[in-house]
Amino acid sequence: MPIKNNFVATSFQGYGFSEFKESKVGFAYAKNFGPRLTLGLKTTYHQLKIAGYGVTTGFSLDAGAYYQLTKELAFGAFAANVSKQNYTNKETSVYIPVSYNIGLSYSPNDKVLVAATINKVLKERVDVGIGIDYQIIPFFGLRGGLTVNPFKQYCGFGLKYKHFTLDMASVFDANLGYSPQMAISYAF
Amino acid sequence: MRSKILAFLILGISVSAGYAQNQEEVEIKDIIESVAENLPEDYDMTELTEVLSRLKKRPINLNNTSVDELKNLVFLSPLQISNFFNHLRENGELLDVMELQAIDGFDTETIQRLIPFVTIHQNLLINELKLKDILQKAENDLFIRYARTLQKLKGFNDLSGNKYLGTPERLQLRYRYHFDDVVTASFTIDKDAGEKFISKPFDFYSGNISILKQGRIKKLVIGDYTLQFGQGLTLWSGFSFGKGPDVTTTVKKDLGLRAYTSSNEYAFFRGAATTISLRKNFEFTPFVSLRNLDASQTLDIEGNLIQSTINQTGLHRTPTEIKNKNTLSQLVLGTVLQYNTNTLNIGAIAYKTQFDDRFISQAALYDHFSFTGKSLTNLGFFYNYSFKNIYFFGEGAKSLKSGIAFNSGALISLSRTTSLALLYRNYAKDYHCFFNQGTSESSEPTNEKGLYAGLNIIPNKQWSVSFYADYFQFPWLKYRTDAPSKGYEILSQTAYSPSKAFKILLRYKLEMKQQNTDLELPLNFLESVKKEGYRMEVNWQMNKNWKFQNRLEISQYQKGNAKRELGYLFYQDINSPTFFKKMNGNARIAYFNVPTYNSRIYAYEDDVLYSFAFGMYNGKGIRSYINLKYKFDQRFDF
Repeated sequence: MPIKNNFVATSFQGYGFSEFKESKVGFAYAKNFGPRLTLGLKTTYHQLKIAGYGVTTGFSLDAGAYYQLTKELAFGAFAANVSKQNYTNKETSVYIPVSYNIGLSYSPNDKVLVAATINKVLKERVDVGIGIDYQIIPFFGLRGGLTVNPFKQYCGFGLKYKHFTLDMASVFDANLGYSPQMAISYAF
Repeated sequence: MRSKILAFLILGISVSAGYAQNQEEVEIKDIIESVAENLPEDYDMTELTEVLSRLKKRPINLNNTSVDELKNLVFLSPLQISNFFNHLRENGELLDVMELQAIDGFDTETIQRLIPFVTIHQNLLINELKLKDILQKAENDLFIRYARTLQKLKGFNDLSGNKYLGTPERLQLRYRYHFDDVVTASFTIDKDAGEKFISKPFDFYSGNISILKQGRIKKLVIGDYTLQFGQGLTLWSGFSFGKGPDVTTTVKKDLGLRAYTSSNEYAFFRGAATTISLRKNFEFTPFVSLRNLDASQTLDIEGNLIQSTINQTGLHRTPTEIKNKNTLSQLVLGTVLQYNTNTLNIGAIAYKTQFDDRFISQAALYDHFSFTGKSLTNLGFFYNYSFKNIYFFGEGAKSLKSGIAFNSGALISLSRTTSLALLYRNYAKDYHCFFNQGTSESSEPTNEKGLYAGLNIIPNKQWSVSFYADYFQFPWLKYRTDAPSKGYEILSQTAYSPSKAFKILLRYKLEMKQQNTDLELPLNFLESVKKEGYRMEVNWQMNKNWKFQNRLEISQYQKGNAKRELGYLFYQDINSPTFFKKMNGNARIAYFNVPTYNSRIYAYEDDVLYSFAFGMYNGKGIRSYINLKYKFDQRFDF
């Protein structure tokens, strides 16, 4: 929701099934500094529920920056859970991941976006990813991409209707098979 | 490995016209290296270079050309070709070659590469064939090539009981006759190092006569010829590009029937073939071929000769190789029917391959599904269709009484600067075909499923970025892999060229596959094999006469948890189109340190005119070569 040069947003996320459930509620704030640079902050409230083991919660803080280099090229960077917060229950071995990410996007016209990222999740290997979004017709776009470490392929589509966006995606992992994802968003 | 010193000599006589300039070789070399990445070692690329050199002498008239003709320019993608014809249809004839810049997908590099091979002016057409003209107005080219490794190769004395019987020289003679692209003939003889001179003076003879563009007969070849149709799953003899840094090469550009001019001794047909135009847009290509192949044969219990594989190397040096020469006769009989327009091509293939002796499968389990018997019938259907900015292509193939293979893909021009290639393939483990060159990870396009995605971005004159990822599965066992396996390959390349005189290229390639463990265990399990390659290359030009190239290539190999192997190659190339007026030449000095065959490095090497090779670097040492050419006059050079 834009308020002059400031933007606010909220998000809700759910993952898992009845025995293991992760939920997140986020609140984000971003501010434009001139026509090229945008900085943002996001706080997230995490809840983890495992059947028979109870519930634990935690807070995390993400920070990001976005810089429009040229009309076609944009550069972005963000760090997730910068303050290295964790779940309040110290016994759980599930932790809120700390990650550092940089990315570059290239958009030769208003239909095509190619993006590449380099991610480092703490205690894991550096991952490189690339993705394409191709808006075939004004309200429908196809997407595809992959990451290298581990090797995963992604494909999906996005539907736009007035202020609503519906995104569907599926991940294919050579060892784990397919896992689908869905997101709905509303922009003012 | 010891460093090798090679000496080459070439003698070229062009009787009527035409000589090659060094500049031409440089361009052709760049083109070949950009499209051919995974070529077999020592592959004879003469066919390709000859076609390009010929087009340079007789450029294609862009205002009067065909899809088939433009397909000869290997660096043009099918999408570019189809965009080109769309442009002609909408805007009429080109008035200037630079008008190409207005066509989608024609970046500066493509146009620069294209210019030497095209024109917009009318070629002189010859409508009537007269015997007098055929004799007098023709072009004749003769090349004789003699090569000898100065050091004695191991095979001449070290191999006890099975040493090379022949002489160490390599000799090649090529003769080409052209009469304005209406009548052509060629004759090639070849003797490899280690092969005998005696009995028959040369080990390999090949030749043909062809007549082109005569009424309904579009092409007629008598002698040795090649056939390339669709995506190569059913009928494709000879050379084909696979995955490479230019992502558009995954789409095969079939050239149909062509005269065979290469010195490779396996991949061709011998007999007669013709392409006849039946009515508008319909073409019919019947062919027949009868020849002898090399095979190692044994007797079965009934006393009949049997074999399990065909030997494709064409080398006849040792007593065994000589004994196996021409032992198996092969008859191929079939036809192709095509419907072609500038946007849609569909075709159907049917042919039968008949051998006089029976094939049996080898004892190894991975070979369980290979071809057995004496005869095989193959059927295929292929298509390609361009719709707006998308080029669809694919082929389905069936070997009767055994498996199916198919692939399907699209080449999409996302924007003027960005193009995307996608290809899905599924080749059954029991799909049999003797002329199969489908895009694949394995050398044989069977027993494989995969998805390939590639992206080319050329945002401006200075930069070019390409990237591809290929994921593959092998449902049945493979050589040294005792279980179904899978893997992937990733390549990413960036080139930056701030001016015409300077270019830097960075490339990274990663390949992950599975292979039997090296441990001595009662039961083999699979371990992952990781190969990585890093390349940095700098091209710079001091002035018109001196060009330099430096390359550093690093390769890494790691199997399972074993120690990582590291190999590297560094070379310096010098190239001079002219010095001392009549001389030109090029030279390389390379230092390499590669611990084992696993981390081997390939690099393209210059050779004498019309001859390029991919050299393999393995071991430790220095390898160098120098090529010089002296031009006596317009017709003769040495």
